[in-house]
Amino acid sequence: MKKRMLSALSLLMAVLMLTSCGSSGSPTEGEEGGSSAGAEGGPSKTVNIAISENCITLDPHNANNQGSLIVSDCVYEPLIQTDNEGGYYPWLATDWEYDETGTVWTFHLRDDVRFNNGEALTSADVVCTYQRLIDEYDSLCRAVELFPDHLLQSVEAPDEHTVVITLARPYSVALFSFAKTMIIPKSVYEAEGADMFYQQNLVATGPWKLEEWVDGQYAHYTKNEDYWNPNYDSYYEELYVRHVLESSTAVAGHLSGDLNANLTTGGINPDMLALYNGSEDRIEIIPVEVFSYYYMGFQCGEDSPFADINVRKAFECAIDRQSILDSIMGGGVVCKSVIPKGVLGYDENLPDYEYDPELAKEYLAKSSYNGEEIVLSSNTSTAKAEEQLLAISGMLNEVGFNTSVSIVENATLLDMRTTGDYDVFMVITMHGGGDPGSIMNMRIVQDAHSSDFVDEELNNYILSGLQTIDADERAEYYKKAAERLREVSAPHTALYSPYANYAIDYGVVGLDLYKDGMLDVTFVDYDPDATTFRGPDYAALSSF
Amino acid sequence: MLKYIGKRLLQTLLVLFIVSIFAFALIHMAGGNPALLLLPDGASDEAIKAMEHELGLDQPLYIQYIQYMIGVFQGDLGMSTAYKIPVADIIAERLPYSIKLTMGTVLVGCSLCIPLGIIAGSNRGKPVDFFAMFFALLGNSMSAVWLAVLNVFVFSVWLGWLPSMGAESFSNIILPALTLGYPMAAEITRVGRSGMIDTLSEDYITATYAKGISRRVVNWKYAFKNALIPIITLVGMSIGSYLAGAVVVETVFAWPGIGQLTNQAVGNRDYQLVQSLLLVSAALFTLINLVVDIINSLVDPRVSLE
Amino acid sequence: MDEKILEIEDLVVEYKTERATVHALNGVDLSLSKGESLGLVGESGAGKTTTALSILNLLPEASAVIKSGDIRYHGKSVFRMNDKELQSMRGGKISMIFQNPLTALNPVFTVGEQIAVVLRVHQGMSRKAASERAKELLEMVGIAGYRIKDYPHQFSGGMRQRVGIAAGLACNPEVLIADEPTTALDVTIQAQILELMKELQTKYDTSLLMITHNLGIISELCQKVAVMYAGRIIEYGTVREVFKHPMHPYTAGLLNALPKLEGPRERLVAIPGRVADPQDLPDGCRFHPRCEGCQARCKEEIPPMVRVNDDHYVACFGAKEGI
Repeated sequence: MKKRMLSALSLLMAVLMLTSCGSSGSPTEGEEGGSSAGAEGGPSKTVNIAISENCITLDPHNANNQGSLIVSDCVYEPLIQTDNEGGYYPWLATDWEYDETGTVWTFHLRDDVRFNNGEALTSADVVCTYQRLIDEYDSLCRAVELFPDHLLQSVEAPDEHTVVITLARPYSVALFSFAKTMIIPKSVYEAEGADMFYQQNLVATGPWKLEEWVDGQYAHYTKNEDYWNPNYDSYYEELYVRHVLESSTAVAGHLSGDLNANLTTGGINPDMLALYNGSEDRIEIIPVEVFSYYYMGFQCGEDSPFADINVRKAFECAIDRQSILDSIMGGGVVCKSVIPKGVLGYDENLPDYEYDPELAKEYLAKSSYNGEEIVLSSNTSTAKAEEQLLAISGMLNEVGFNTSVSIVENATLLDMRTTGDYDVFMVITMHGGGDPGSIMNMRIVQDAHSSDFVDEELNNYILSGLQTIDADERAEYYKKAAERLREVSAPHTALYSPYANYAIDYGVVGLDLYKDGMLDVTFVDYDPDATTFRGPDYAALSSF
Repeated sequence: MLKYIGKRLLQTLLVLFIVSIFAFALIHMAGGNPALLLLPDGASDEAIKAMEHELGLDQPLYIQYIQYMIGVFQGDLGMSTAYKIPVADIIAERLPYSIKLTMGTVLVGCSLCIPLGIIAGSNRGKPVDFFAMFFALLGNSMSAVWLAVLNVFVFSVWLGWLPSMGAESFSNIILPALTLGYPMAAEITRVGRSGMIDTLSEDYITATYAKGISRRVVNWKYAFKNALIPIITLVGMSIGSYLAGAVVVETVFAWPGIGQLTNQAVGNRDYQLVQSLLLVSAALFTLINLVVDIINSLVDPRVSLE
Repeated sequence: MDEKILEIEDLVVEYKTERATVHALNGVDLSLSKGESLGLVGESGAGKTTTALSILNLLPEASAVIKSGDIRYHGKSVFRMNDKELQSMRGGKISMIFQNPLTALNPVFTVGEQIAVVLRVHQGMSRKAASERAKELLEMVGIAGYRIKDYPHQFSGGMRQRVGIAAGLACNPEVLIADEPTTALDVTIQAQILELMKELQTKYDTSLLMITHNLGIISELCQKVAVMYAGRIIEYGTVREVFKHPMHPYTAGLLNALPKLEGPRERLVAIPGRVADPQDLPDGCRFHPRCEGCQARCKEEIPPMVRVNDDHYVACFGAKEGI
């Protein structure tokens, strides 16, 4: 009896093992991306792109990380497109206008757009989309992010191809928010609600159709043959967006041919770039001057050493930004302020942050600093945070500070920053869409990080800019804000903008490596004659 | 036998109950606020409070725990704050990958090394024994990360034999299983070898030779079964840890198992996902222990299930 | 009946460990005829088990060295047999019963299997046939037949020894070597086992090499006896002769040491001194340090085996009757 049980058990295990091996993941076995050659001997019609974050949800209104946004951006489309640098292009909407208060926005829709289930796009779908953002504001991450403080008030459709969106107050970066709001189909949403995203039933207007999303692995798309926009007709018929969290694996995959592009959020770690030596004939390393930047935020409350401006000034000029850039970050640009180059309000006449240890010592001498320990904090998801902070700590200690370094989990740092429980922290950030208004508003005016620093003049500049629709005028306000921030050296001191390096096969074009650090792979294409990489040409894509 | 299994299952329930309390306590003690993690940087206090309410975080802790446990008893493992879909679905999706990887690892580990251990033990001092011990030493000394990355670069980039990532087809499992399996194989070789050496010095082996049985049959039939006993226990314990803890391998090879999932869930403070993952892991672990005990009693007749 | 089937000639065996060399056998001469039962008696450490294992060429390879001498079975040297011949001989023609029944059976196999394997290997029986026959054999040694499916730990020591005997006799071997088969058992069981062995020996006409330190068993069971000391046979002959007229002081000492049931109560007589240490043997006659009749010659020369009469041989310079 025992012998029989034993053999039964082992047979069962063997059967389990074999059957489970067969029925995994993709239905198309052996289709390991990139290996199936194109029909006429050209390169494969399947393109594999690696990104460094996981997709967590397919709901474009609830995505709160890069990985999810990239995935849903391939299928869904917004009313207008942007290059994230302040340029806006007609897309599902042919044109738009706003009234004199800046709160009523009118969009005119195209009449030839179809969802990938055949249904025509009408204003009812747009209304459904924006109404959802209003009704479920509290639980939709994107709603809060794009339209802070219940900015959306109402949405109406006077006719089938016109939509009127009313905001609660004027918002200078409203266009950016509109350009990032994806339109969902009313019929499907009314029938299934949010379940449609969970069921992976992504009915949308975009150039790709989602075949399958496998959590932790990839999103697999096939070309939408009935795409409404004739300006985009990709060479590729299948697209895999693969989530590869481990950077060495991404590089290995790229080198071995499993991948055609390696797009790591924030750029490939400079240490990893050396691995690409030897494959320069196949793979191009593209350095992008992103306007994301590292900065340090001071705790300026009464009990903190940084309440004293001399301490802050000493801190600022004790740091040799350039040398950290060169030796740790793999190159980049030293900041002049919290508004880096390329962002509205950038002032090239502002002097760079200086490195002057002697001056730092002077400031420190006349300050109230008594050698209290100062902890430099950052989190584990900030690239090379520890190395940077260690270098900075060394530089600070040399001029007389007593500093130490602490790297904590994301969640912990978030807690600390919300309650103000820190001495000084360092993170990387970016101004989405090339406009610093909303970020500065959040962090400085509304003091989201409880720094307890208030400067009326600074706040006024920011608020004024926020409410000014005209871009040039706005820029002037922000320039003044940046200048003022330099004067008071609070609540932030900017460090530098390192280059973001991406690795892409020659010939693969159309990936949008936004200057603000975001990524979009929707318009990927293949150009055999391309000698270097180029991104999507939105002007060409949207000209009819 | 059935009665015994029933008793063990009851014990398992008790263990799981205790685990649930620990899991809940630990993840909540870690600080951090999942609402904050979901919202954009610098969201207003109202937005944060609203999100907390949505996620049910504004209720007192013990209520949250009770509601969670009630759900568990009904088969509802909670909602993931990050994925916004039921936890049960996430786990159901990812768990099979972990199981597959574990089985692959056990297959690699056992098939390579049970024979190696037996051969080494029965040929003590000969070249094959030295080879086996060297092999085992290497396996014990290599760190998982190093081995994983090494494997990727050698087999995927340099030789181009195997895919570097993903989990679509059969060839994807080879490298991760090899990486996890090698240290396990090293252990098994050692244990198998010493088990074999011990067994071969027993009187009953001499008695078996005295019956005219050939060396090959003595090694592979008679001594083998005795030497197998410590190996079974070892494999059983390893399986448990691989199921839940193969984080490094899963990350390097982009293998979507639950180890990596747990790691991310903790980072996201995805409370109910973490709690349920810990529960599931504990359940699997105790189940495996039960199976190992049963197998042990089948292989070794001296062991009776009490 | 006088055909000598097993001959041990001047066998010298050493165990070499890192620390020392153990001189286990120092020139053993022994022979066994067909149907004969020979008792091999001596104290622990005398080399009895080593002799037994040598016959089957089962000495541990790593440490045992056969320095000189030979063992011949039907004229063929056991040390020169190839694997196949050895395997055929072991268990089929020469069987062994081991001393410790608690460790001599493999705990993870059924007793039926451990008996049946001998039948399958030597008599080519099928599984089913071997299993049936194993059942019969168990019955023969007094254990219920259905217990072939049971495991050793489910039996007592005495019953396990019976299983060993069943396995040993399964193929009707020509020679049965019993290495202290009852030492680990208590007296009543001992009697049962001995009865059984006597029965079977008569039935199957097996030659028996009975290794024991118990003189009583020898007198019960054996026709001839060989007394071993420090790796040599120092007295040999029929049981009757040797026990009645022991010539070697050691043998005499052994017999004297037996408490007697009749006669006046005397103190137990022990042989003075300690058993010779095989790692450090005395020169000359190994027994000389303990011998009352020790002469100068004894300290230097090893006494050869001398014929006293047809049924009696002794290796002692000072052998006189009735010391």
